Amino acid sequence: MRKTLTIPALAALLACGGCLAMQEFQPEAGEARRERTASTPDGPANLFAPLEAPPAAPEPVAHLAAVQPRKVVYTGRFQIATADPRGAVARTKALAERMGGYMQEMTRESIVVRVPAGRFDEAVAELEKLGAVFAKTVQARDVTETYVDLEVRLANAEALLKKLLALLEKAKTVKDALEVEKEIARVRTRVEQLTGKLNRLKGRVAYATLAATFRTAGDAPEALRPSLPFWWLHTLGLDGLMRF
Amino acid sequence: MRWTAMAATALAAAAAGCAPTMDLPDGFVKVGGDEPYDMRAVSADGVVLALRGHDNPEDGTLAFWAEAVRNELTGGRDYKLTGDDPVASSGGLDGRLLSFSAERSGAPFTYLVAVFVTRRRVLVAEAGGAADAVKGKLAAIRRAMLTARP
Repeated sequence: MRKTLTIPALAALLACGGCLAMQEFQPEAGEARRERTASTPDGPANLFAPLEAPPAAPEPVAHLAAVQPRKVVYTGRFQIATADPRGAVARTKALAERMGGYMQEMTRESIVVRVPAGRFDEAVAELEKLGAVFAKTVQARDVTETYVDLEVRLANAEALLKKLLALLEKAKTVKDALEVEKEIARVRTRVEQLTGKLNRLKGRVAYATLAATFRTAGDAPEALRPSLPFWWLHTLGLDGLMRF
Repeated sequence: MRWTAMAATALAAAAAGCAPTMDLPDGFVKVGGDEPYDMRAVSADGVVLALRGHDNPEDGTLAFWAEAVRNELTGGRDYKLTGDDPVASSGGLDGRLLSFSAERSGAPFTYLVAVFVTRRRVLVAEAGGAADAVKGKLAAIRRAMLTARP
């Protein structure tokens, strides 16, 4: 009787703690405010000025994030007028490869490349030499809290998996063992998903993304269009949705 | 249920986390969530369904977010708006379903975005794929998108 009362109570306490922990770890708590975007044909705004203090985020992620080196995802989008758009695409590909990066996707007049994050500024400067830049958006998105959140969630899921495996050892009937194994499979999938998510975020932090569209010089440049300060709007579309 | 099974269920429920979700139609397989998506699923013919939730920092309205999404895609990007319909999710959230056409490698593609708004969150369900593939399962895709919940 004592055992019956104690172990479900312990499991319920663990479950409550786990769900509360999950609720605290909401991504984007501080990220939207920390994002800076410059859209100008004349040159970047002061993108790399010190940021204002981020809004308070729930513990413990905010505390962990504060002591972690910052993780930033750099992206740049350019529209460039040039006499030879196809040649410019080839030169952009070569430029990325020279810097230790790679071409992600390419059409006749547009290209997306990834370059090591530490060489982002250099890549932007080289890209701008390929023609007349008539539209430019450069973004530095701080994903430190999401990164830390993922690390903590993964650690929690791995710890949970260990506990379930220990529980399996104590199962006294086949029915109980099967139930526990079912939950183990679910948590194992969660661990794999979180690992994949974290690895992909690491990739996006390690490599900046540059997208360039080249137009023949002499075409009327596109009117600069307003860009809202909500980073996720720019990630809408088929290209992100269908990329794995 | 024995205590081991009860304990296991409780522990695994904690591991599930609290993220937006939607019911998937038959023929779709869930794939790993990848920022900015909270979930994604694919069909065998390459149609992709996805769901994500974002902060609604200043209590933005549905009209605001639907227009922001429409302007993002049609104002300088190569999407043509083909439909804009008010919808309601199965959970009672008012939303808008925007349909677009675009070309990729010379072939026609369809892209759908359903936007739902609560005071604190913007839910965005997306679907996309080759136009013929999407057309064949459009009703099921729409039904799935309308099951989006925070």
